[in-house]
Amino acid sequence: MKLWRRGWWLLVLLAIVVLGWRYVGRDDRQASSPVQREADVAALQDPALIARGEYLATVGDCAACHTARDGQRYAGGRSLGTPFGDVPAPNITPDPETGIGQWSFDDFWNALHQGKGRQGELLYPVFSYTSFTKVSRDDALAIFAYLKSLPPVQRPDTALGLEFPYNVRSSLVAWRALYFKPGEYRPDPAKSEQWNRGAYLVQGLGHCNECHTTRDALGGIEQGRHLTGGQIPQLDWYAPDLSTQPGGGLDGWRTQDIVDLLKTGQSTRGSAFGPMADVVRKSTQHMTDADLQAVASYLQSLPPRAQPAPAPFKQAASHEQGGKLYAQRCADCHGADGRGVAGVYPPLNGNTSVTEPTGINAIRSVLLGGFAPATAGNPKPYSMPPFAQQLNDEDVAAVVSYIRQSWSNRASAATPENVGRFRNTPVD
Amino acid sequence: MVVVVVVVAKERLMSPAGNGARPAETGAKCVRAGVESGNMRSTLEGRLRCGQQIHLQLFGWRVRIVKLRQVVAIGHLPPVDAVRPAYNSRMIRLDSLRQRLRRHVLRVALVLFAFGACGAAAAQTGAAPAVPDTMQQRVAACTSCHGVHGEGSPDSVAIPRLAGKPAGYLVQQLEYFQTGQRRHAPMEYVVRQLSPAYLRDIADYFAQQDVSYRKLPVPAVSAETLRRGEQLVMRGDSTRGVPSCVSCHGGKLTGVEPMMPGLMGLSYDYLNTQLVSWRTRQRAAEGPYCMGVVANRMRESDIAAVSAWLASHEPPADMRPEPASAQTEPLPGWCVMGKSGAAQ
Ligand code: HEC
Ligand code: HEC
Ligand code: HEC
Ligand code: HEC
Ligand code: HEC
Repeated sequence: MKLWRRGWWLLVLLAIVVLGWRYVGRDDRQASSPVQREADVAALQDPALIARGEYLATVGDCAACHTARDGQRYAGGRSLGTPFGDVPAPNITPDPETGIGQWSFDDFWNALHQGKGRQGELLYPVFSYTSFTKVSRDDALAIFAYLKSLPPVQRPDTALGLEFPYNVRSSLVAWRALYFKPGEYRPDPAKSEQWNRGAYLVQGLGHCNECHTTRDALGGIEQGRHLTGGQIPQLDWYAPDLSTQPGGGLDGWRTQDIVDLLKTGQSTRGSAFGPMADVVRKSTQHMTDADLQAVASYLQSLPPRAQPAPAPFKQAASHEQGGKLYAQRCADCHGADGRGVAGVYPPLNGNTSVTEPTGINAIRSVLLGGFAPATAGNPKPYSMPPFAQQLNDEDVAAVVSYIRQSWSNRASAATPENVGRFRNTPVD
Repeated sequence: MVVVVVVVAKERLMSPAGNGARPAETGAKCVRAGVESGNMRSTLEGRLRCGQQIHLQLFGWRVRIVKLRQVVAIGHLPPVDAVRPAYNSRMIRLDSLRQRLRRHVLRVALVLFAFGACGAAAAQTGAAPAVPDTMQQRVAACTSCHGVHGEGSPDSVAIPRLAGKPAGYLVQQLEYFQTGQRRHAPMEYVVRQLSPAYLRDIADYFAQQDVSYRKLPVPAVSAETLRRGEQLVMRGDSTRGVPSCVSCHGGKLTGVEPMMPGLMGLSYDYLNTQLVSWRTRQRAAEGPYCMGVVANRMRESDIAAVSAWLASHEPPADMRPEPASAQTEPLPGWCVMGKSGAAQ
């Protein structure tokens, strides 16, 4: 009986895969009319378009992935880790041999919008085309014009770091059938222009959802979990829920707090660190005030989140020890009351980075210390000492548990095992 | 004597870098401010609190001090052109404050006093702690390992001294950590999100520190090893193509402005690790590379020998790097700093 049922499921699955393959695998790349093509080619030289493209490429943070740490901008080479192996970001400077020098706008549009390479090969979704598919054709053209205007850099692409079966690109067919729906952003006429702009930026070019959500075992994003927060695979940081309503990760954040964080890297509610610091420094700090306001107003409109039934609050046995450590090591900056110093040291009371479900962010912040990102709005940030050398796993767990369970914070305790696990996580 | 106080106020004036982008609350770092004049001091101290709006009587002028926010200065106000660069940022603020006050036709000799940030006063009442607006405070992360003045760590011989090293050299190392050309995970994380301008400020801060050298543990090695070390340092080994260390690092091994680091006052472990890491490409791995070339031409035992000799050599009293002009010989053509440019 059991065997039969399993066999049946397999059959259904096979049928889905085969049908899906035929449907999704079909060549649905779009080609524009010759007239359109000529118009596009002419437009590519327009300095105004190029300038807009530069701004949009910054909002899309394309350079962050398409630049190796010590490499030339947009020349590729940075390896992006996934649970299935490393995918290197290619060279997207207009070098004819190693970059996108020979690409037409159609090719580019198909990459951004359909997730397909120049030969129609399926691209891996570490390239955030699941979000970029929402980018409008006009904006894509501007980005393309900008990339084409860059000095070409000859740098052959790095080989894929994936093993079988993941290195077979067509295996992505099934994945795409499950998780990828191409389609430009459709404005909601019931909402304001500002809201629509915000939604377009957050869901599309800003690709906030690529980090701020939970992925399942196949690396896909489940429907309905948009921006509800999750641990970023491989990076081991937790990107919090972005709702400002009750139960949301940004509960109580005002529009101005969001704008401050994205523009300066710090706000009265918390500061950016880890991958978010990178996003702020390279991308969001350069956004116009109007766009930042739009993003914030969209985030403000995210619905309240279901609050889990209040688990019985259990204070860590190490609370007292944690309190002592806190008074010695942390209170000078973050304050005995956990309120921090506005504009200098982030508060820990009511800070989502402290209370997020996993405790990873607080643990790693304590181990690594560091500066908020240096931005035009906060050019000389203050810093926090790393405590990895000074505190052992028990002490880190105690002080993290203490901040997660003091003042108004009511999160779970951290364990020394957890601390040990993240002590040696690569910082990248 | 005169008197007064402090601080003010309006966002435009006090916001960092003078950009008006930050909202009123985020810039809000309050001060306790006071007046140095007999009993007036205590009165004011008691009266001024964060966020408070106050008025002062000054020689008959009524000065409005809107919302106290930040320490402006400590002590006497020097003329602007006498201001040391290190204090620039603070003085710029003072300056604009002064201009402002002038504009308000306040022609009094102002002596600004601040008795600590308002947080300190407030700390007793449970509010935010004091935060000095200084470079030293900003680089708390760095000083927790490298020492408050970059004197090195008493706990770890692997953490180098930074104080007094040529600023150009320090900046370049920070950039290498940023790009991963020099590897050390905690260092890489800490400098990752800093701008070139800020790295420069940080390097300047440590380059300007002047603190005495600590005695470092001297490794127990044979006299023979030390002799070999001295030979390499002072004369090099032409059979292996190793130039003397003094030919590049300065006659007294205290470095040369603006880029060449000194080799005195570094621990045996640190020296050894660095020379090995050039061979294993943990430090500035790509391209033709000065120290990479030198280290690779040495025998493994030579590395221990130079490290031992350098670490046990008494540093000279004057540890400042030689000025650039004192360097007679240009660096050899194969000595390229990092990937992009020639040294100096
Ligand atoms: C999160 C990292 C990431 C970001 C952000 C990102 N990319 Fe990519 N991109 C990649 C990776 C990885 C690939 C390679 C995918 C593959 O090999 O299947 C890629 C592939 C591409 C390709 C196809 C190149 C080729 O040679 O096949 C283009 C074009 C491209 N990206 C453009 C962009 C643009 C434009 C942006 C900004 C709007 C951008 N990318 C942002 C990671 C990123
Ligand atoms: C590369 C992954 C990544 C991307 C892309 C990303 N974030 Fe984040 N974000 C994080 C992580 C990790 C955190 C938690 C660390 C922190 O608080 O700084 C975070 C935190 C935040 C916070 C809370 C900060 C705080 O102090 O609690 C906000 C607000 C935020 N992100 C907004 C955005 C928006 C808006 C976008 C899109 C424009 C975005 N993020 C894109 C990774 C990302
Ligand atoms: C010298 C001042 C200083 C000390 C001491 C200090 N911190 Fe911090 N802390 C900071 C700064 C500055 C940041 C922001 C860093 C960033 O954005 O990367 C921060 C960030 C954090 C964060 C992340 C919150 C956020 O929104 O960015 C946590 C959690 C934290 N500190 C906990 C602690 C604990 C626990 C201790 C004591 C073991 C401690 N800190 C000691 C200055 C300090
Ligand atoms: C966790 C402790 C730690 C912290 C925090 C730290 N450093 Fe370091 N730093 C080290 C160690 C260890 C080395 C030696 C690395 C090596 O062996 O290559 C080093 C090396 C350096 C060097 C190279 C020195 C030389 O002579 O070549 C500079 C410059 C430096 N650090 C500056 C800084 C600055 C600036 C900060 C703050 C932004 C900082 N460090 C924070 C531990 C630290
Ligand atoms: C041809 C010129 C040259 C010669 C000869 C030379 N060096 Fe260097 N050395 C450099 C340069 C340039 C740097 C800066 C390296 C960098 O940018 O990382 C340096 C850096 C160093 C450092 C790192 C200092 C620090 O604070 O981290 C050590 C250690 C060192 N050299 C040791 C030696 C020894 C020992 C010798 C003799 C065997 C030697 N050097 C000979 C050019 C030279």
